[in-house]
Amino acid sequence: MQDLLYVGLVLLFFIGSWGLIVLCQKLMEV
Amino acid sequence: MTSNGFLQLAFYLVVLIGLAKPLGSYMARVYEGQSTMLDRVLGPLERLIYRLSGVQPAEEMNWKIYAVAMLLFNLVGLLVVYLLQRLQGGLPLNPQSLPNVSADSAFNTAVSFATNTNWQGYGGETTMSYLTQMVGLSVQNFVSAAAGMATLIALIRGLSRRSAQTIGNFWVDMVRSTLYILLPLALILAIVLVSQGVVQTFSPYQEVPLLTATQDANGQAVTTQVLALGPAASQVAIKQLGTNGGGFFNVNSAHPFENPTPLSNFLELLAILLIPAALCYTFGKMVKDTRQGWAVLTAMTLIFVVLLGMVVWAEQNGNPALTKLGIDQTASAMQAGGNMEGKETRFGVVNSALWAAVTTAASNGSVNAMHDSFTPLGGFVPLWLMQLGEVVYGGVGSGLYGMLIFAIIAVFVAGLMVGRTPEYLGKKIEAYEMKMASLVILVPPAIVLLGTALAVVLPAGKATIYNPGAHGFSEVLYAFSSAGNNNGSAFAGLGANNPFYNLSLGFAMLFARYWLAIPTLALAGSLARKKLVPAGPGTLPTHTPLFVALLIGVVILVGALTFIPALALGPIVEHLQMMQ
Repeated sequence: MQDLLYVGLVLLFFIGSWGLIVLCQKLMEV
Repeated sequence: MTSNGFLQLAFYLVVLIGLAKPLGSYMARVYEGQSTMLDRVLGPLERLIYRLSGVQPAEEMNWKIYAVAMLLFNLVGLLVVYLLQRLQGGLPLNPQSLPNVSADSAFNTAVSFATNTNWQGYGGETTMSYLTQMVGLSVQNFVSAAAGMATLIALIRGLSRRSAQTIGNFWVDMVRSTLYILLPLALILAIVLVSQGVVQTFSPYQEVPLLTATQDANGQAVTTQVLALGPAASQVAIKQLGTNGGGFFNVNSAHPFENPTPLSNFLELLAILLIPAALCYTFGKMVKDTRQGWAVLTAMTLIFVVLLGMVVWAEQNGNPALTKLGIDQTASAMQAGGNMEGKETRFGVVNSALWAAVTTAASNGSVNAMHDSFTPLGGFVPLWLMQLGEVVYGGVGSGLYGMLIFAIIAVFVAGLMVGRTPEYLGKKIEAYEMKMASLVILVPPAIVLLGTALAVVLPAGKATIYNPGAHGFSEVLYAFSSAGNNNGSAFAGLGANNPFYNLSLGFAMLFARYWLAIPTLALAGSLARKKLVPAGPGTLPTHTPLFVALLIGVVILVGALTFIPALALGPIVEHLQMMQ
């Protein structure tokens, strides 16, 4: 259960990082 | 400071700067795909790696694909290290039968090594099996360093290319960083360290008789001691060269099996700053103007020398309260003098202070003395060196890309002064570049200050602050400064191996690494697309002493304005209390 929590948190962070990539790209295209 | 101490510091700096050009030149050849002396040996291996992994080395990536490749590679590495720790009890190469690592500690350590931070909430010899140390931690020491170098090289390509859509191939940059730079240097250093007495063995820990028997707390006779062993030399070499810093043993390079002699101490110190300093020359070579690299290296060195002088002075002067009591703290033939608490007599004040400055100037984090025992001003220096953003040499790759972003901010500030569009290396610096640079500058302070504030307010954070008052605050500030700038050294004194600190510091490390690398790569992509603007009469030259002074001013001002209020609550007030 704890493993799921920590691995889930890591995955959540990396998904958020994908969001940052998209944001940086959008800002570049403005 | 004694003349001997001064000579040691001067010798260190001369050797470091002297090696920057040959190594930097070699690294530029590696990244530009030119022939090197290692091609005959490593070329076939490199091609085999590409064939096995399906990488097309000639295929270039735009910044988004480069960033995604970097993130995915790091995510996989992080999960592997996590799993290894969680399963090590049932895996081979575990002669001490160490149990699986707890989930929160495994999370923190996996993040720490994948992000090149190497913050350690655990003690190596009591927690990690040989397999975890070798396959998990040592491998990450190589690849996390290579990922930082790849990100830097992508930014340099962004600065040097014109009207380009791509910034290189992440897999090629990773493989070439590891194969041609990190592996050969680590192999040589590991062999030299073994010759000095650093252990490299799969044997279990040895129980040896004590020279003098003693008693434990219950009055029972103690006649033997267990000596922890392991494959340490191979890990120590790359922990220094890759500015990782994670010790094989709990006390890191203060342990005689990690750092046994003055020569091993010198070589490890040199290894910490060697690649970050040499990369400045690589940068100059790749942008076809080596003066640019020297200017950045000069700015880094000037900041470093001043702060190094301060920590050596503070530690050599010792505690004024003890002087008032008539205790002699002067260096002489009979004693090292100064503040020797928490320092190895093998290294003395100067080499301990030099290590503290070097390890926090680079985002290394290994220690050969306990920073918690430094005088308040002596502790202030490593703390502030980290808070400057790890750009004074900094981590391999990450230090220079951080400094180049400061250079972009410096030309922007200069542009505002004269009312011209700022340029750096012929590239116009516009709104987008400044947005990305601002992100890189603002993320670490936000992590450090918010994290520290939460820790000193929440009961879970306060529960393991064992020192009261200003010193306890310094310990928390140091922990978040270390994690939030990917350094990894610890002030110690703070109980950090618990779910609160493992989680909060883990996230600090994640944000500090990837949320700086992503805007840096975006910046690289944006700069690569731009045309080259020919230098005109209004262009600010970026290789002159004036620019070096401006760059230093920007780094110091940003660091001072952001962190002096917090530092005033920690080491500064502690110093004033000591002077009373």
